[in-house]
Amino acid sequence: MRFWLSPAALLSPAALASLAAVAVAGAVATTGCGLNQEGIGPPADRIFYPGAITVDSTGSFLYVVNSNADLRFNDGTVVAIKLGSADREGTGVSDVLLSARPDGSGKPAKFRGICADSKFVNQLSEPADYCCWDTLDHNILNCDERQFMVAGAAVKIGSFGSALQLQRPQDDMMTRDDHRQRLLVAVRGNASVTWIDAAVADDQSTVSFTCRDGSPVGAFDECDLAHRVSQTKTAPGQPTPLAEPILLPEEPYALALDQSQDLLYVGHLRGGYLSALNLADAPALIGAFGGIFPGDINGSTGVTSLTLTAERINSGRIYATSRYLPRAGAFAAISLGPVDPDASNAVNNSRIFLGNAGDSFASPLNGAEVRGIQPIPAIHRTFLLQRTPPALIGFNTTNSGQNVAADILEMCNGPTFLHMYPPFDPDGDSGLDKRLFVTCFEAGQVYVVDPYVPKVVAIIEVGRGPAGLAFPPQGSGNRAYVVGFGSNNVSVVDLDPTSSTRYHVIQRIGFPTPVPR
Amino acid sequence: MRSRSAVAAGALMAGAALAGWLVGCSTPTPPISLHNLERPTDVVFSCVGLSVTGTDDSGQPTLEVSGRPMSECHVPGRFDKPPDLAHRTFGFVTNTARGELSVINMDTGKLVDLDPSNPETNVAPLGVLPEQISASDDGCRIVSANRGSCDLTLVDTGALVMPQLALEGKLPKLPTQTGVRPPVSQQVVVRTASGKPLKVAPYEAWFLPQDTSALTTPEHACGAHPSADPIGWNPDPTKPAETQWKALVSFPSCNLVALVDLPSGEIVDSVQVVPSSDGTTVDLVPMGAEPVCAETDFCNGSIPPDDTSAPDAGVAPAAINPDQDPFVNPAGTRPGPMTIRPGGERVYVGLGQAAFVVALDIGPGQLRRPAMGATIQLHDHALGVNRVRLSIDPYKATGIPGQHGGFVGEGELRDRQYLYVIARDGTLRIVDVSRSTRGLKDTECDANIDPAKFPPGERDSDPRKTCWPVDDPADADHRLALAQGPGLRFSGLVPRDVAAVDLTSLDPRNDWEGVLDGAYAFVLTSNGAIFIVNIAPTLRDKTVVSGTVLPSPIAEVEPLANSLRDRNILTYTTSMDATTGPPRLDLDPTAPVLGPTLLGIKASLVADNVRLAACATTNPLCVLTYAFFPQRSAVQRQTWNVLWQGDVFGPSFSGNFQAVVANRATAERRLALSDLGVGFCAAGVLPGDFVTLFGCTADNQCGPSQVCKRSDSAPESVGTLNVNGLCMLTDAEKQAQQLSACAPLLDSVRRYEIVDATETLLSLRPRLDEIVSSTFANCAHASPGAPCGPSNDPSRSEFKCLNVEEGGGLRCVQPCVVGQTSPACRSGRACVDYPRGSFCADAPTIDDSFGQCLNQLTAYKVGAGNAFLVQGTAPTPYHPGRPDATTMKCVADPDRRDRIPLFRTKPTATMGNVRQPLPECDPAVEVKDDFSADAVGAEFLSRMTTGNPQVIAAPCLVQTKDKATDMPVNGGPYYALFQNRELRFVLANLEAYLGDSLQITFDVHGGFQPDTVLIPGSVQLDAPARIVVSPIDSQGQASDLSSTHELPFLFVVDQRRLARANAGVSATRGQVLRVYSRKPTGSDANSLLPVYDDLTSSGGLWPVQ
Repeated sequence: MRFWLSPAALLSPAALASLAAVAVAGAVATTGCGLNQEGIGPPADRIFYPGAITVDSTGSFLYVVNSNADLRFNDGTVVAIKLGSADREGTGVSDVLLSARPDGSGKPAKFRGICADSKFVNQLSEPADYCCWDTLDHNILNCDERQFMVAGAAVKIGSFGSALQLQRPQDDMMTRDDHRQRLLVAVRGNASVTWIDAAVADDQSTVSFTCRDGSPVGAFDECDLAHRVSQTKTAPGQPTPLAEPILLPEEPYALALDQSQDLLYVGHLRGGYLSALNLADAPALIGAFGGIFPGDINGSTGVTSLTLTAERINSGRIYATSRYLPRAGAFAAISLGPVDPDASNAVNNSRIFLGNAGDSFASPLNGAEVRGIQPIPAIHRTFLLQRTPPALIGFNTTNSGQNVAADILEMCNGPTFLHMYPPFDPDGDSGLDKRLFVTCFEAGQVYVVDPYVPKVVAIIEVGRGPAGLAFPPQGSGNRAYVVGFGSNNVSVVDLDPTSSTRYHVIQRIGFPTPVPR
Repeated sequence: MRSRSAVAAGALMAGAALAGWLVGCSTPTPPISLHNLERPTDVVFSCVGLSVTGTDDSGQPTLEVSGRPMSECHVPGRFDKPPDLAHRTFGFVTNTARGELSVINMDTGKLVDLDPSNPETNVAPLGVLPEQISASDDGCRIVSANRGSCDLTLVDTGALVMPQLALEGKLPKLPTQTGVRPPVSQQVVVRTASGKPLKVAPYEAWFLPQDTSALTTPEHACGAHPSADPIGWNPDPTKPAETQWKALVSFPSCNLVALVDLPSGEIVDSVQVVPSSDGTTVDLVPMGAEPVCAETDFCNGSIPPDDTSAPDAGVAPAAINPDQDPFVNPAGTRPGPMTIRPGGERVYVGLGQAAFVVALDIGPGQLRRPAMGATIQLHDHALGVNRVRLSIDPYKATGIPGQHGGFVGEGELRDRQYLYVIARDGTLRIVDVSRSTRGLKDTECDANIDPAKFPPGERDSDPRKTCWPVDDPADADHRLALAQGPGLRFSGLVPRDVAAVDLTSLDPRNDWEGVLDGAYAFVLTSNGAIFIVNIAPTLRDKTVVSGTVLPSPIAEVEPLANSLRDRNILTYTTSMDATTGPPRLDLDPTAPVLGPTLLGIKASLVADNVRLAACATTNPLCVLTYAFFPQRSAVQRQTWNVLWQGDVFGPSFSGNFQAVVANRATAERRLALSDLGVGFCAAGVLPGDFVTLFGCTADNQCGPSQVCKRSDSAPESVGTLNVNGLCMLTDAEKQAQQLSACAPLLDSVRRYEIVDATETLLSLRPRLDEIVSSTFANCAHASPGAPCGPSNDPSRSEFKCLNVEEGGGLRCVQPCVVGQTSPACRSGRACVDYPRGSFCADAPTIDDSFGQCLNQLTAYKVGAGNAFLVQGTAPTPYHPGRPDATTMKCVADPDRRDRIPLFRTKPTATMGNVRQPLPECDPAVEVKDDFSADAVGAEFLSRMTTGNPQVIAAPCLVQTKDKATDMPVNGGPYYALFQNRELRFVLANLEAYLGDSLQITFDVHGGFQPDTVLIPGSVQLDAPARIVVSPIDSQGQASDLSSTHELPFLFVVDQRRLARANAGVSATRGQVLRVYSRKPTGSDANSLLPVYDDLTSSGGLWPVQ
């Protein structure tokens, strides 16, 4: 029986209920566990249906959200994976991989054999530090993920975590202190944005999580309500409490972070709402704003992705994509109250609303659902990722262009997310070095697109169900990390232009398996 | 000449080798072979035949399979003969997703199993991302440009399909194979003369056209070397001298176009296209056989990267300014798409990062910069080029032995030779490339010339008839109003590819209205629609009535070359449905019994009103004409509304309202409205217009924890104006506070006059409750204080002609006293202070309470103040309004043509305390005394008739005059003449009482409809990529093979169709579809039109998936 489902299939309540039923039935039938309220706790050292990923600002750790999509456990988790020191220097993937590769004498520092077969999965009873070369592709080192897990850096967050953002406090941004970080996770299971404090050791050898008041640092706890933003009891811009709170709308799915303004934007798969959170202190909901997209023929609305291209209130831009219509548009945080920028409350985080910023994109293709948008101002092109039919559509955004579609590239089956790397360089960006990465859930591929010509330059086979990508901070490694939702692992892709394995998976953190161990 | 014995020896190994090759080629091994198409992007055709070349030692016939010139399978100018084993046509399709080659037997419409000894329909490997493919004229080879693996794949066509032919022929043994075996295909890495590989991806690879005059017998079957030289390379083409095939290959990352030997891959000559030193154009730099590339591409590991190479495209950052026109990217021009003239003498190369096409002359072993016209600029922000195609049929007879292909519809003067350029701004550009054959510079044509400004009578002797040069000299006056640049646009669809086809025939039906005949370009767009563009159309001047062929009452006027073909050149019949036929009003306009209305005019020309043709002969004026169509080709089927104070736009749901102090001395407050989602000037907003604070009508229009609350006391509507609610918090205490503070707002119709308008901000004040028509007709001739309310509306009995503000003229308004209930303003109105007193207004005074009522995004709409808005339902592009360059305030664009205002605006808004009406029409229309409709219509007819070329530049007023005194009659009747891009009409009775709203509606049926290839409901395509004209006749194969009109099939490559349950489709896959170039449509026996074939119409053959 296959327990994994596509993200699209996970959207509906019916699907969630079915999954729960399957999980419950499975638990009863196969394990004989009793149905108590506690359920089965999730493991702290494993990857199971990962839904989101990011790399910490030092390039030392991967943060992975385990969605617990089949509800086999009573919670999803966020875990940290230690990247090797070599990785930070851009010369290797992890110490494990490095050690398995031939050294100067032609012999590997540590011998790794070929995996027993193409479906090999290291059992939990076996040593956790096991790695072996993939049977079908000897360029890929498959490893048990337990050996990379950072002790004390795992928390429980609820099921169906779907997006992850890393916030660095403003004062630390100025001092280049990367030790204090905050993880923000959209959790669909409990309709919250859950936040976790992460403290990186001075020597960057370890990191610890905290999301429960009073709990010891590093404890594998469930995040408490104080760390879940799901409602506010004050109206936007008004400090007096409301009798009835404003709730965070259901299905938080996409996140965009305005780092310099300490604002987090949340796109909701259902209802078409955009929410805003004030991160200046403890994260707090400012409000939810509807009417972002018109509904489809059935009136359904939803937001599938958010891309932030400019920061700050009154000057920022957030691009949102529609779940039901083949279109996308730009929105902005607008300050309530006087337009005068000198007014004291003009840029108060708690006094904003999200308004249409007038930049809209309509696909010329029949079909539906846009999964991502990526403006590249330097070359005056904006790319829209449409799911059906799968296509990447380039729009002319010159002053004379009026957002007219001009390029169409067909994509692989089931495109889910659109990423750009390297990111914008605020100190000057020619736009010529960008690559667009499209993860395709159904095809198990990542398409790499040169937006400049435009053309597909590479197709990366990454295994079943890729659900997102993460890149290290610039200058800290030529790697990409792919969330393997359907294979319960993280794949490491080589981006080194001088490498013979460029655009190729070279390591899997977790053996590929459709069912979590 | 090659050794035939060597060929035979090599061929002995073929059977086993082929099977082995199919599964074990050295370069990329395909995954499990599937029998469907996956992301196909291109198709080419080749003729392959099985021939008996003699007998062997045992007396058995010697058989040979070989590619052959296409003219062997499809003789140009003749009907195709039935296929046999010696004449088979195959289509070669690139499956880009899998890097494979699929082969289609074009005679049977089936995919070919390239290895019958193995299960499934086997395919052949090519390379990574083989996006484009080309076939040699000798039929021997095809070559794919593999953009992922940075190489080319050269495939022997005969060897590839040999097992299929052997199977079909039930041969006792495999035929002898030609050429060198193995390999049947070769991976070719393009290298410099010194052997250095180019580590960059090819974009396209095209064989040079060959002179095949020597290849007429099986003795000249394919070998390891070509038996035909490129056209023009050899003075005696019957004695080929070249030992390699020649191809042109473009490499965008290297900014390079190279002439390449195949299969060696060695560069013979090359040219780089680089930005000029001043950055405004491009230069061609000869690079010889040793080009140097500054960049390397990712080549999927097939070519080892340089250890020292930078990341691909990792050039030094350069300042890019895409708004520069012409755009030239300083970092590189990225040449990519190419097309070669049929004679092989010149190639046109599109630049991906510059608004230019470059031309290179091709000579024996070299590429040369043409002395004139090496660079062809694309104007008006083309940005770059995605694809180029010539208006050629590559299989057309030329009359020259061994040479085929020519421009379709070029005419005796050969002046209709076009290069179609799909530009990176989403338009199709057209370049006249016939000029270079006359020693002139090729130039871009303006495809948006207004035919009314270049009438047929002026065209015959004008060379611009076939191409209106964009810049030779520059002339914007002749361009269609509202056109953006010289390129063709396709209703928001993206053009993907173009093919030219000549459907000119001797069929006696060729000039019937329902028949497509002539030469056209077929433009494939992003949703599969194929638009038909005129090259040399056959004019439609016959109609069929009850089986009888008659001259059309209104013959087709020759359309301009490069215009979209109008499907609706059809004679009017009373049974015509709304979508077809000439533009007309099948029904009279609907208008209120009282009030302004459209003037019905008795016209007598069918050209003015096609419905006259259906009138009884005894009553030729049985139909009144309410609207005239001065430019038929601009008319779209739609519903037109003439709306009194109609909505310019809205509702918009993102209005941000704030109360601000406009005048500190008087403490006058105004509302400031900003909306980041709307550019007010561009949307057509003008001072004097008004904002209706729309609010909400249902809870779901409000945010979370908010509900829509409306007044408990106000009616739901006042007249035709709604009194909607506002979004308020669900919190009970907060809501009570809001309801109290916002009561005046909730009770009113909330209409605000726009005092000032800029692109981003509107300044608003409460709008007067005014009877505009009375101001127009009565107050202009009355004393202050005179009553002006209509007797039939008691609610306006208190209205008087009064001065509201200094210099504003008398207006018909209701005075009131703020704070007192008597005299009461009308329902939904409030008493508001104005500079010259207090008057009833459509909204309450602006005060501090607004902060509680409008503290969120609020829905609103903008209406045209004191004007009729003429709006159609079709997506007609209007000239955007614009801000004044000095004041930054919104000003009217005279080309916008969507309003009939009653009054002038500043600075001539008032004169002598009287608001000034519209200017009188010039030349004047004299309407005197007899105001009967017939008499008035007769006065207007000469100005309105379609034959009158004079344009009514702006709405103008016609005042009636007293016959005796020749002085205007006070109080009317008044008329307005109006013309926009599509219509002319007379709006009568302007002086009649206007309430809060008035609407005149009429439906225009028929009109211009861009002609497209019919898509049956049973055909589905979603990601089309390619359209090609084929050598295959769509007419049935004839036994006499006489020389007659061939109507070729076209083929469309669709990368993927969606799985849609409602279409009965269960899988997503690519497909190749056949387009029947001219076929009875089934619904109309008199129509012969192009249509996509479906399974039923093609006998179960097409599409191939």
